Amino acid sequence: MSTQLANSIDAGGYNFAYLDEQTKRMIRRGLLKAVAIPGYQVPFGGREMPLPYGWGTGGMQVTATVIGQDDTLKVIDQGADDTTNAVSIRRFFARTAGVKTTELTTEASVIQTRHRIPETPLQAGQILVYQVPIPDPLRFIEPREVETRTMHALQEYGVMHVKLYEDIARHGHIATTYAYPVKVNDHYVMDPSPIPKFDNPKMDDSPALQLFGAGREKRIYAVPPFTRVRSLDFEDHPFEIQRWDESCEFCGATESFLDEVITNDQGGRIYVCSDTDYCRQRQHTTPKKQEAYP
Amino acid sequence: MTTTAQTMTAVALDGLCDGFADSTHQAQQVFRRVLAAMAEPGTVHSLEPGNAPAPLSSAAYQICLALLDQETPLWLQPELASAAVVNSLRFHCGCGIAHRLDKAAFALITANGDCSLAAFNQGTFEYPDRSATVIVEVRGLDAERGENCGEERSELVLEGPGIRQQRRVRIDGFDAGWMQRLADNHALFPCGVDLILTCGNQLMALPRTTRATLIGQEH
Ligand SMILES: [Zn+2]
Repeated sequence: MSTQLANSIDAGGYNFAYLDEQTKRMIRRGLLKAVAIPGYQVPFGGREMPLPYGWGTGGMQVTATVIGQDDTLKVIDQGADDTTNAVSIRRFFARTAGVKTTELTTEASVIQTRHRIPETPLQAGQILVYQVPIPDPLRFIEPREVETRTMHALQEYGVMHVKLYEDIARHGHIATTYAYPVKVNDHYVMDPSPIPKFDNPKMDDSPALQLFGAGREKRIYAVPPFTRVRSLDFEDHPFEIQRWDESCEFCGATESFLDEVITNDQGGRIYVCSDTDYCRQRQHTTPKKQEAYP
Repeated sequence: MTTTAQTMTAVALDGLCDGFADSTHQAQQVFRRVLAAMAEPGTVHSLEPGNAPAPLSSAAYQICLALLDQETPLWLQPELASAAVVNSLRFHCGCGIAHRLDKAAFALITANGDCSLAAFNQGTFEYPDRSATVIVEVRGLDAERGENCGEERSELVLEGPGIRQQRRVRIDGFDAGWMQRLADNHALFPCGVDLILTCGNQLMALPRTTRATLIGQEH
């Protein structure tokens, strides 16, 4: 046993951030290659996280691999810091890595996310870790890995455009609203994870480092800071993000991603920011649109 | 798998250098700086000062301690393959020494060697991630607007992912031959090797995506 292996098991009997050092080294080497080949899916092996798939095991493996004692971790699920999933993951890393946690986007050095990119613009030095269920945007079209690898290598992405164009033929517009495919650094087409297409433009030229982990398929990929990320579209049907006629009931935001909330049996509904931290910050700094909903 | 006792009797302990005192946290800290360097090519990152087996720099040694293990054969340029270096890396990382350049996952070379980057594993179109990572010992590294630069310091303009528009760096020891190697390597994308340049306890990365031009020789 090398000394590194021996030292990796601490006195408490578990590893820092749960993963053993050998698995971390393997994922770290994979992450460096992922950053060097933006948008390309790097396969990785290693130990499983103690959670069922669907709980963001891929994101947790990436977070466990990058996080250190000096980090401050934020975890969001559909934009919210207080869902069961987000709270569980935050507690897991607070317990196994002793890291500080926060709900403030601006305070976090590492943010693990499922289904959203924070509304507050990310800063240089921050790392955004996405939980990814299905990493390959070509998987729906071609189930064989050996085929999709060749398609990515040769940039044979015509089928992606055909799929989007079928939308236009059927609905008169591109109906894909989540996991809307992007092209990274003018080469690889990448699944941005099931974020709303509203968030796609935030990936482009971001000062933050974006890392993606898929647990079931064991793939990691990355977008370095200041990298071109374009949503696929057509000249006559340019990419567009969702817009709302309504504004947030709590903070009055008109520029944020809004969730519809049914308020009573008579079909009453309100709209609220999906990003809870963003909404809370705005409530502190801007007067309320009206009386807060009781 | 060998035990520690077997390893100690099997290798001569000539020049054996200490590994990380706290491997979990030091490896994480070194990795984060390498990750930041790879994510923003041309930025200079400092590691904690530390001992290294001669003639390796502290940065090169710490990167090896953080990233190498029995799954990553290492190729060493003969000038760097001292007993102290070989023994220390075998003992602490358990890595094998590759005897062929194209079998190495990592390589340690010096900027003044005439090592061709094309001789290393370039990865394949289907699996470009399988290419080698090459650690290059250089005589000096400066981020943008480094002042006291000598005549032989090449000033480079870098462009590509991780760089907002352009970044200027000075790399002591990168001559016209290196510029050609970088250009050839970049042209292989998505294949090609990734470079980590080291000097003292500093490091900078030049992944395959980075386009480098010598100032005064643009276009
Ligand atoms: Zn709001």
